[in-house]
Amino acid sequence: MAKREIPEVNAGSMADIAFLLLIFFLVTTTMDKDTAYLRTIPQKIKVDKPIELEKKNVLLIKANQDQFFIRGEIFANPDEISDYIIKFYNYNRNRVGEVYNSEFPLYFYTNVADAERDFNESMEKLNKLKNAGVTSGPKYDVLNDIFTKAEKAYFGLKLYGGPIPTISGEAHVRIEVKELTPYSTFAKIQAEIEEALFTLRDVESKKLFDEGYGSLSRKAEAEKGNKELAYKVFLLEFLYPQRIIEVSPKN
Amino acid sequence: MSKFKKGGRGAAPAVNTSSLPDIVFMLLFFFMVATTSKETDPAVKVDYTPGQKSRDLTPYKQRSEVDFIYLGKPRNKARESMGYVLSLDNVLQGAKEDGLYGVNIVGRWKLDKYNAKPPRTKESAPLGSIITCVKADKNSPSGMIFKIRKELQDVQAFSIAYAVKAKD
Repeated sequence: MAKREIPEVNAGSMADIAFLLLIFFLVTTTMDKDTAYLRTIPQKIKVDKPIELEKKNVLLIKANQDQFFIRGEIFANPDEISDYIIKFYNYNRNRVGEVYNSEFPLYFYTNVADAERDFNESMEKLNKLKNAGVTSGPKYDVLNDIFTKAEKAYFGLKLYGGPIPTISGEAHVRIEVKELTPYSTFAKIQAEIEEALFTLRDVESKKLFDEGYGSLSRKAEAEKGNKELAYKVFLLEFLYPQRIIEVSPKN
Repeated sequence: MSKFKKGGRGAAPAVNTSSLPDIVFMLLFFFMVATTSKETDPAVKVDYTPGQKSRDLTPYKQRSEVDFIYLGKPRNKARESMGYVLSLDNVLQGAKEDGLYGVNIVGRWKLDKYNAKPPRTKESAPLGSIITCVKADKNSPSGMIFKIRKELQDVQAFSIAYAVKAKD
C-alpha cells in the first residue's frame, strides 16, 4: 500500500478564533486610568491644649452645599480658589527684608550651611557604625534613614544657589466642609490646591532647571534610582510644601 | 518572441491570508498586555467628578498597593431606598440602625484585606503605605468620606486617595 500523505490541518478559521479572542479582550478591558488625589491621614495624637495658630498662617476654605468661603468671605468663582492659594504662598515671598503684609504667611531664609552640617554629622555617625562592623539591624536602619534624608536635603537645597526663601512652618491650607457637602465640592477644593501647587512649582522649576515640574516629577517617578532628579523634586517641594489639614465636619 | 507574456484574462490571484492569524494574534497580545482588567463591577453607581492635575494610580495597581472603596447609590432598583452606600469588594454595606454595618466596617475590611496578602508582599508594602482609594459619586455626602478617613486612621492605614476623572 502506498504511504498516505498526512492531510494538512485547515488553518483558515484560525483568524476567526483570534478575532473572537481579540474582541472579547477589547470588550472586557477598561482603558481609562484610575486617577486620584493622594493624601496622607495624620496620626492620632493627644494634645491637652490645641496649638494656637496665627491667623495669617491659615488659609481656611469652607464649603457648604452651595457656596465656598475663603477666610470667612463668600467666594463666588470656585475656579479662582487656586489663584488665591498662589497669592497665599507668594505674597510675602519676594519681600524678605521689606515690610511684610501681615495677612499672609511670613518667609525666612534657610541656609545651605545648616543642611551641610546635618549631612556631615549623619554621615560621620553612619561611618562610625560601619567601621565598627555593623551594616544591618534596627540601629543601622535608623541612622541610614537619617543619612539618606540629610543627603537629599543638602544636595537638593544646594541646587538653589544661595539662601532659600522658606515659607513659615505653620502655613497651611485648611479645608472645612459640612456633613452634607457633596463630594464634588470637596474634590473641587482638592483640585484647586493641586493646581495651585503645580503652577507654583512649575514656574520655579522652569526658572531653575529649564524644565516643567510635570515632566520632572514624572521622570523622577519612573527612574527611582536617579538621585539628581530626586534632589530637584525635593527642592521644589521644599520651596512650595503641600500642607493640607482636612477638618472632620461637626454636627 | 517577446519576454513578456501578453496578459491573459485570468482570474485575480487569491490574496494570501495565511499570515492574518499572526497579525490578529499580535493585536490580541498587545491589548492583553496594555490593558488592566476591571477587578470588580461595583454594586453602586458612581458618577465621577472631574478634576485636574490628579495622580495616575496605575503603577500602584500593578503592584497591588491600592484598595478601592466605592461610594454611591445602589444599582439595584429595589435597594434604592438605602441612599448612599459603600460597596466593598462588591458587597453593599448599607448603614443600618443597629450600626453593625456601614462605614464602621471599613477598618475591619482593610485589615482583613491586608492580612490575606502573602507575607512577602506584606514586607515590601506595610499597611501604612497601601493606598485606599475612595471612588465616590459626585453627589455623595462628604461626611461619609470623613467617616471612612477616621476608620482608616484608627487602623493606621494612613494613605488615602480621592478619585476624580482626569480632565486633561
